[in-house]
Amino acid sequence: MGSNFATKSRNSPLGSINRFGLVVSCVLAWGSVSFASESYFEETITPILEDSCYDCHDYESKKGGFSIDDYFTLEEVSANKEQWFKAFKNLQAQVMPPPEKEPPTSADRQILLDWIKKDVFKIDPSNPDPGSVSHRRLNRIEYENTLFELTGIRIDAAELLPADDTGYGFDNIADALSISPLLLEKYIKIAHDVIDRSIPSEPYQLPQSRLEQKAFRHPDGREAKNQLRFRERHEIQSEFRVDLKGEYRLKADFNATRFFNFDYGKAQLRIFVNDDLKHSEEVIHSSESRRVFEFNANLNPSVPYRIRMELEPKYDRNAIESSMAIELNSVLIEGPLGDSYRALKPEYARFFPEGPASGSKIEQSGYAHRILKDFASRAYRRPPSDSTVDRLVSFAFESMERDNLSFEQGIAKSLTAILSSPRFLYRVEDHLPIEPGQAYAQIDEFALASRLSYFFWSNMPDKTLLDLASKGELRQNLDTQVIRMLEDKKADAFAENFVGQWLQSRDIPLIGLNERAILAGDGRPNYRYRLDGSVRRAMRTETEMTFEHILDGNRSLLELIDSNYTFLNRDLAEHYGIEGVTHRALRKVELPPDSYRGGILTQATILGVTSNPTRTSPVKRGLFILENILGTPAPPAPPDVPELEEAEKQFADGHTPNMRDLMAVHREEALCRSCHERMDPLGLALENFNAMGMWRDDEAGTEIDPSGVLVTGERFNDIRDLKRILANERRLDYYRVVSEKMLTYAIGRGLDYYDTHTIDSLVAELDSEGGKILTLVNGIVNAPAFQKTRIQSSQNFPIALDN
Amino acid sequence: MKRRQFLKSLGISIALPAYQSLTPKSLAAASGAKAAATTASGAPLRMAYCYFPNGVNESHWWPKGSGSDFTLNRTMQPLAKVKNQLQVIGGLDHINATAGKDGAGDHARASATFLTGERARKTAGKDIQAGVSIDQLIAREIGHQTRFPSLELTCDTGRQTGRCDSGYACAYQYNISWQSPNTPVAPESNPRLVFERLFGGGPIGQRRENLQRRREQQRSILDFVMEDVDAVRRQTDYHDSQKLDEYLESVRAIEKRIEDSETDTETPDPNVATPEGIPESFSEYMALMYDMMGLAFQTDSTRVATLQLAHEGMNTSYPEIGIDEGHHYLSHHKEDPDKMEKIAKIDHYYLQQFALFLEQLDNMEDVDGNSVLSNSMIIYGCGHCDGNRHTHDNLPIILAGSGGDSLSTNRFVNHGALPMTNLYLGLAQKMGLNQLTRLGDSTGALANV
Repeated sequence: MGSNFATKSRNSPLGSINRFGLVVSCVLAWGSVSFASESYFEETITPILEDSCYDCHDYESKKGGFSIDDYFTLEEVSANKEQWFKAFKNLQAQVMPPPEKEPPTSADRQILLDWIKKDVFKIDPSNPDPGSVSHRRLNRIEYENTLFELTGIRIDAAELLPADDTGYGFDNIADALSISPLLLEKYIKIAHDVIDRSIPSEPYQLPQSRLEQKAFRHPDGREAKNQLRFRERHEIQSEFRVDLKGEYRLKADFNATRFFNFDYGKAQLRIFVNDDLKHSEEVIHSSESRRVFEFNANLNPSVPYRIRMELEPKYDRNAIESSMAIELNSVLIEGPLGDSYRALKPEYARFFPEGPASGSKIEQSGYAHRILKDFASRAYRRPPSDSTVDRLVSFAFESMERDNLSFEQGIAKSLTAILSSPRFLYRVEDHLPIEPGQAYAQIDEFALASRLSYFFWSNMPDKTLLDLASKGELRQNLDTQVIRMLEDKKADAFAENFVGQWLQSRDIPLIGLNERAILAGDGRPNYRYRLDGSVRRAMRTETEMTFEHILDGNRSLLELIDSNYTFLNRDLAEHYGIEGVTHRALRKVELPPDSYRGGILTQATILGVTSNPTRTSPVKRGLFILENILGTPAPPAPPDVPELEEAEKQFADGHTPNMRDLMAVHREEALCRSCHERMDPLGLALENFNAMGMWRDDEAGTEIDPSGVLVTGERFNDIRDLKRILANERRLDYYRVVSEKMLTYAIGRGLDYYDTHTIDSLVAELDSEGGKILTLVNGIVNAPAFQKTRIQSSQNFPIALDN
Repeated sequence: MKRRQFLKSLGISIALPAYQSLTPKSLAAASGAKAAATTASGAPLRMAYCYFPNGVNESHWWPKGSGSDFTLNRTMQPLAKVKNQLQVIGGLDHINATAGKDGAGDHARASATFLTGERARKTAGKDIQAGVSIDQLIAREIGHQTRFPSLELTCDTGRQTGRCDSGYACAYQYNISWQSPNTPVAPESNPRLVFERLFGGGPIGQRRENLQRRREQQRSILDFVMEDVDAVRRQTDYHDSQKLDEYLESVRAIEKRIEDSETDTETPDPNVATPEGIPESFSEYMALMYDMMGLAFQTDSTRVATLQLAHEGMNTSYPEIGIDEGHHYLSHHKEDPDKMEKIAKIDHYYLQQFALFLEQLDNMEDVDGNSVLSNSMIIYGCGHCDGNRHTHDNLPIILAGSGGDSLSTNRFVNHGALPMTNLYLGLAQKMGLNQLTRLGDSTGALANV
């Protein structure tokens, strides 16, 4: 058998009958491939390929550049896994064979799919190839979060660092995250600045307490206004107490605001403690926005004090209009004054838990060792070797000696080095020992802790995770840790970054949408509407909350597609035309049974990010659903997309073609059809939602017809039908996409042929559990791709080492 | 307006302390064998590449007439004042940006091919591969002569999430400079950070010291982390080491720059305020980035720069000029006159800022008495000609500056159908890279420039 391929393509390339009839036995030619595979191939697979594929994928037609005749031997089939991976995906999504051809029975389809996995991809279901992830550089978000966790200082990474390149739709893909001299320079500078800011030069401070703005009221008890505008007189006050008798320093910290570049407004600010005037100052225009007013007061414990502030306008309010205002941030109460009251600053204790260094050099060195080992363990997310810590300690002391630095400054040097190290900037993973000859190993528990924490939190592992990892108990407590992590507030990052990228809801706050032009296109040129920042934020939150609701209650992922609820506040409900919502915070809202809303497809995030700035784009929307909900692979695109104007000419009778007309003609072109048949019905079903996601019955007077047929044959009348179809008949496609997207995000690499079995298992489990989201999450964290790594022989990587 | 003041002081009244100190070095270089990236008169020779997205409206782009007998068309009217300092170039192609067997993805290819001439590997993330870009090749050869081997800038901050163009990784669309075939050079988008990197942070008078301090900090840290790389490599020897190599190359590049800067006489401290950040108006943003490039050239901080004005396929609108629709959407105008008119308007808008930049460079006196513009070669172009049909031939290219009197300016020349990379080779040779004989699909150095 088998040589039938060879026979045909070599000897009779033009022949098309009896291709599989000629069977010549040549077992030897199969080399290492087992006889079982070979005969199975011959007896079972070949006839199905012949029936279902060979019409188009023979030597002559070679449609899509794929000819089965190119494969003489099973060995060759297996050698071109990339090509068969495409075939696999097309078969699985049922886009091959195309609709006009006779499809294989579902049993045959399954036989082919299983054969590809087993004999072509050579996947061992009991020990699948976990793949290998390059050292993953922290992306901007992870970097910012991790730095904050380590130092308590939050930087604005989006401003300081260049945007990360994304791959496979996500910004945490190892291969796509590169580094350049510019970036490394920035990392060093940020490390330096952050350490500089987080280590106080002075270890001690006086006891402090703070009266926040919220604590202040009008004398009559009303809540105090945030902004004290210079146009009128203001009076605010608050009570406070102290614990010890003595002299205190009070600092009233204000922000001054103004609209004009120059402003003649002025006002007298008077601050009283009880009825003693403690400070009086004329506030006028200045370029400094922060104003701090300081004064001392002698205070006793057990007596309540009242701090009162008066702001008196001091300009002619009839002659000029002032835009100036001051806003109180807080009043800091410091004291009692005197060295004996001073204590270690909390931010100092963060790095120097034992206080300032003292004693002999050996003692100091021991202290430095403890400080640096602790910090490096957290920053590297695994314990550093002794030699690494030794190097850090010597680096600190060398710096102290060479540059005459204090102990703190020397330690700061080493901390900066830690934050510039590849061990901090990259997620360096290690694995457990393996038996010789094994190709895959379990990653060690520190690597596992990082995989989990960056997956759910976009942040470093916390103490609990690192402690478990160091005891080697993380794996055995995986389930409870996953639940704990998802319940943590830090898991908001999962929705923000995973859903935010999968469903692109992260883009809605900034995307260009022109309200006037969109409404004019809808036929409402006179409707004034502004899509302001708060509505856009509500949109984004709606999508995130929908996901979090499912996650929190371990609900079905199908609710993302079709549900009878969504999350709204007054503004967003108004935007959608939903009545009866008055709350300002987003909350779960039950939708009426006939509502078109419910599910992400009818949320403004997706509807907006798939639109052009002035109008909807059914093609982009259709493509979005294909790629992110159905997972239909894209057919090879035509080299030159033909002109739509050819289509337009056919409407020379004078009637203005609408979007549907134009696209219908477009689809008649054979070249366009293969793609547009898949995209257009999906996009057109959403035409009742304008580019901002608002409902419309017609487009400038032309009624919208949202009905259509999917390329897989299902008919629908409107988006409600389509949602039901997606959540029922097409649910396995959807489960597959979510599984692929989430696994990609979790492991930071694109999926390959060897992942197909893992995905199939995830999909099967999901389906048997009714789509419950934790089934997927747990499936992923237990998958070989998440738990293990491929081991390559180190001999492939010559290393030049001199120490 | 802060920025306009900035421009003014930059173009006209600048008195750089380092300016004098530059002279002997450059002229000395000229007295012997001609140094690379130096004009015949001994001044620095600069090379820049500015990229704009989505092609042009050709009917208003191409000049009327040919050779030196030509008139600027409507779109290029802003360039009238510097017309005699530039050439409009037609007939250059990027064959490797065409679909070939790769199908859709013209936008990704247009930018990935633009400076590399290579066909970008179609991948959504794994094994990204374009080619080393011409600016980086030049920087490798001549970069040691200046404080920065090259400068990579962008006016594109918005990065849409999700997938990029038709199965191509986003790296292809958001970067035009590539340091290795697999590693793009992420451009800087914040003008303040560009400035601080070039001249140091803080107020005038303290920057040099700040920069010096920053270098010291870097140096000791780099020494330290270098050893870490080896340790990590040993620990993870089962692993692909490409990412560590990238890191190590970055360490070495910074170290080399620090070393080079030690022999540098003095870092200039321009007598202008540090820019505050990214302006809201896009035209001001472009102008400010051009300012940064101009300042870097004037102070001879670098001789090679790239500026990506916006990423290929960008679909935002231009409210400043009353364009509500997205740029990419409009570029697929299907011959609709209204949309084509808007494309012409956008082309004009971009060129206005470029023209102002050229005028500024023209007002800057260089060490040899010529203008900085005259001692530069500045390419302005796009990897698409007709954005509607995604064509990659007859690319819209302007070459400004006379390369130190070595280019034939003030003409409109059509080269027929030659690789764009031939032009790059021709100019690279003027930069001193005589041994560079091939780039992407090049067939030889373009002689007629």
